Amino acid sequence: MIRNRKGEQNMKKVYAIEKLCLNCRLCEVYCKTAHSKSKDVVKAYKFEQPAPVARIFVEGDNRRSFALQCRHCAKPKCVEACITGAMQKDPVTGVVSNDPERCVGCMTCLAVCPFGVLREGAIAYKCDLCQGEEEPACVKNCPNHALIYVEEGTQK
Amino acid sequence: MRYYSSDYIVLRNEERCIACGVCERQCANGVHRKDPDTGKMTADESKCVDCQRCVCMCPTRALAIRKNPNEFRDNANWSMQAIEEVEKQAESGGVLLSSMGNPQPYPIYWDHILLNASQVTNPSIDPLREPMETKTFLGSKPDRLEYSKTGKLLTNIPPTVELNSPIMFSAMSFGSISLNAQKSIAMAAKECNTFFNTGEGGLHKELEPYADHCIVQVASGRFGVHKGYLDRGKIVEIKIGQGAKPGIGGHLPGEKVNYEVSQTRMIPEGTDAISPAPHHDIYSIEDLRQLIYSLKEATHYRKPISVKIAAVHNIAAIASGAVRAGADIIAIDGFRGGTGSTPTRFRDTVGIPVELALASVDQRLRDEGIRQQVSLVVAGSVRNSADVVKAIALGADAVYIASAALIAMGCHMCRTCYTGNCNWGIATQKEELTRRLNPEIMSERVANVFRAWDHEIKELMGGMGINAIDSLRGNRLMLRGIGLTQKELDILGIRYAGE
Amino acid sequence: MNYVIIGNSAAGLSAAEAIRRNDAEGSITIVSDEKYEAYSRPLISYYLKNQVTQEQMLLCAPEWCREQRVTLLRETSAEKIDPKAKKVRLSGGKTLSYDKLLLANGSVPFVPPVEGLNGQSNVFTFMDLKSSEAIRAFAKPEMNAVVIGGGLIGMKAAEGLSKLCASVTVLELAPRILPTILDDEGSRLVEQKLEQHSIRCLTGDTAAKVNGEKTVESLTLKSGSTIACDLLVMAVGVRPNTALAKAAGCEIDRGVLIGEQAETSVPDIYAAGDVAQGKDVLDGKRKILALWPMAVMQGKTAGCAMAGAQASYRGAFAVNAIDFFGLRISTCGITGTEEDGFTVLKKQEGETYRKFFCKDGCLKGYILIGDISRAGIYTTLVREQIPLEQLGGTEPFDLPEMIRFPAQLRDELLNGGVS
Repeated sequence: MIRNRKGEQNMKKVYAIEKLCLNCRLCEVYCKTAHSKSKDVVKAYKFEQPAPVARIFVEGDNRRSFALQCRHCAKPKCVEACITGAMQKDPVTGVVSNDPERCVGCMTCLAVCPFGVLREGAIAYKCDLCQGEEEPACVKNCPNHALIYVEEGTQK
Repeated sequence: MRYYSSDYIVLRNEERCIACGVCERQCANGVHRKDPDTGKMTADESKCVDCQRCVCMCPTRALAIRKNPNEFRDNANWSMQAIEEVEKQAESGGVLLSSMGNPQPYPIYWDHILLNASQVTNPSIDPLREPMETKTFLGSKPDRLEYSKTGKLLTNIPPTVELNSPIMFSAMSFGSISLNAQKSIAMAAKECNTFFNTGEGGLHKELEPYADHCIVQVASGRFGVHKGYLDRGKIVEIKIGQGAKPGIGGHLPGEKVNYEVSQTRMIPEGTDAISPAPHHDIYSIEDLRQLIYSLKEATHYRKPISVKIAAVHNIAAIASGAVRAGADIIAIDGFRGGTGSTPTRFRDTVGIPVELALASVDQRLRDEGIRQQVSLVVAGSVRNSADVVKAIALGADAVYIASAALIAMGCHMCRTCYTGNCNWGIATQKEELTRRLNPEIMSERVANVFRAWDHEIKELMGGMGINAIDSLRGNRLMLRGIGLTQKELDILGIRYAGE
Repeated sequence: MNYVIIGNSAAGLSAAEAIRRNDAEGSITIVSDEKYEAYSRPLISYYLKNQVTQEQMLLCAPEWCREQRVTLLRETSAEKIDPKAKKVRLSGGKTLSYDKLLLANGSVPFVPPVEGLNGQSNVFTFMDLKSSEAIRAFAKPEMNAVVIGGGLIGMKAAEGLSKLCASVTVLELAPRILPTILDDEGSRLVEQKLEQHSIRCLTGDTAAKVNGEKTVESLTLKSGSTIACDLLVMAVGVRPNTALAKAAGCEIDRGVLIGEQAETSVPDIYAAGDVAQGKDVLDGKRKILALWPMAVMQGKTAGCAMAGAQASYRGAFAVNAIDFFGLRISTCGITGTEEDGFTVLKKQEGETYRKFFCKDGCLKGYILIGDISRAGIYTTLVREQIPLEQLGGTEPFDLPEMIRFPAQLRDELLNGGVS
């Protein structure tokens, strides 16, 4: 277990391994499904309204690609920029999450996020690391283990 | 106009398709495409090879590939395939190419052999409760052992290698398969304490950590052969022939010879790697003996030398000659053995089944009293643990598997390796495809097959009341034939079921 | 240690948080002239159109002040600062001593003199929750509303009013709406959107005369015509609340000038938020960046500095996101013309308009309208001043992808964690 300078356990994050990414984009499919009401791929894509939103992006093409989602920054600019207090970093888990009850969808977070990983919609949608699940849906369903969910500092 | 139809059709369940495009991005043949106007997925079925990649990757299980129902007028002689092959040659004027093993409906003798089990007498053994030995040693065994008066072993024991189970991974070169595929197998070989085989493609530096589990091949093209290569391998194998293409050499087209392949094979990048049909320094058993002993000299008599030959008509005599030439191991490759690319006519019509070849070689070497001088390894479509058990009982010391290892990595036997577009990342050198094999995952899958088979072998042996693989070897009493002629039974050296 | 913070919005609150993180003991007092607990100012337009409740606007949990041991003085204004004695005189005669003082008292609406304007009851500003409440209480469906000023505040007021009143007219003296953040093409796109929602924008025009005694009834425009007006919002601009600082001897330009640690020219007095004028990292000029993220950043910096911790807000530059009826706008950095040495690139595709301002091979600013997805990547290019050449081209249109960043830099940004 890696501990940071303050002696706290480092948070677990999702890391993408570029040389293993297949550009299949199944992570997007399963992310969207995990963030749907039905948790069913077909319903999530074809029937649910409002349409659920994937919080992971695959960039690139078959030659070179990687998946990208919220980095849950140590000092998140989205939290700093949030005008409603909806965007918060959990002091214990380190997870940056957006409270759908408070977010008004102004998208200031989207404009300041260094990686552009927020998705616009009625509110800002972002990776919540599938809180409550053992591991995020993208990691669980990556067919080539190109996504790993490990403690910060152990990803190399 | 193309005179022949598509082999397959794509069935897409529109109720389930979410147009996520996974199939499009995963098909290197360009079958699937999202129509920009309708937003729906469409398919150009003429390109489909039925590799099943899209089917497996589809997150909603919306896809199925079926045979094209299109039919020609019934003709037992001029079958649709026969007609289409002529049409293809009328178009190309070239040799028809195929991949993997002979798919024609010849008898599969494994399926005509049944295993015995103990009842009442010589009771069966439960391998979960009692020790069961599948450990195998390959190499020449001395005729007899001599000891000094003080009990010191005087006999010079020829070099042998040890396997946890009589299963090895047969030759697949880097070039014919991807480095990730070869690495996956190498990792599995290490994990399972068995061997993988470089084929005639040399040993990539990334695989050097697995050299202790490596058989290095010396083939007619001598690709990648150098002192370090011979030093690293645990067994040196002279490849004379291959079951999928007996009598001809290999041809790796230049487009597959990328930088890494060229470095490993020690040939210029982009040039065709052509293995001649014969070894140009071997025209007789005596010549073979020269090469065997050259290699023994080069490796200081510390490594068994294997000779791999294709199962052909006079295999028994050839094998006998090879033993007399000094081979420590003979690998016999049957006509259903796989390949990355071979002329269809060779694959489908040249060579003989490995079961018959094995039985006749084992018998011939016994008759000549030289069986102990050599280990017999059989290859050419060993599909499961029962095939292994039958092979051992017919006289093999071990088997080589390759197709099964590829299947463990995703191969669905679409048999279009020669196109270089393997969607599973196996028979291709395209980086965007080879990336699909993560050796961490694949080595585990291959090792799982090995472990599962080893377990099953132990169960089958236990059922026969045999607790060591050595007691099964050549034990043809454990076998009975079914649906075979007397001639076939005679060659196999087994009795008919009920006899 | 006594910390006094004047102002209870983004800057003041962020400062209080930063102080408490660095000093568990000191006493923190926040002085606010409003009656509410800390709420989000930018949400007043959402409140106007009834998208949020007052509860939802609150920035802190009810127990926050108690837990953080912060004393909040509501409906209290600071009247005078004595920097020598280090005291602040409050309304009601009370005096507070401070060791460190933060001015986070924002700005006030600027109401220009217009003929006939004399405190009519249907004239409003739009700056705080009180004004938003007042407009909401007054507005009726049959009314004709007029907003003078087509800047950000005016346009957000107009958007909100369109849900409350029969007609909304915006008067903007400049030739286009949102003149400070958009160009002609961009403004036209927004205007079209507003017209779809029955908001009329009259540009290059303003009210010459206000007609009506007790209540405004109509406006005579500079162009000569007269328009009906039952509700008037004055949103011409804002002025930073510099009076207090000026009297205390702080150096003032347009706002209170601050250094990299949010310090003013007077020892132990700091300033942050809309009242402060700090350095823009992109052109080195000191300017008022009256934007929420800047206020938070400056407030945090000030709080840290006041509590003796290291901090700086060197990376300040403008970045803003706003939307009108779902048409999203994001702007960032500085803009300029070719005469100033900028390369200006623009492209319009349907409702999406993108304009980039480049200089010295780097992206200095952008305007995105419509599709603003992944705008943050452009912001990174502005923030980090990454030469566009490193990303394989100088055309920024197809750049908003991390994959174009050089592998090492990308890995550093993505996996090294940003601080």
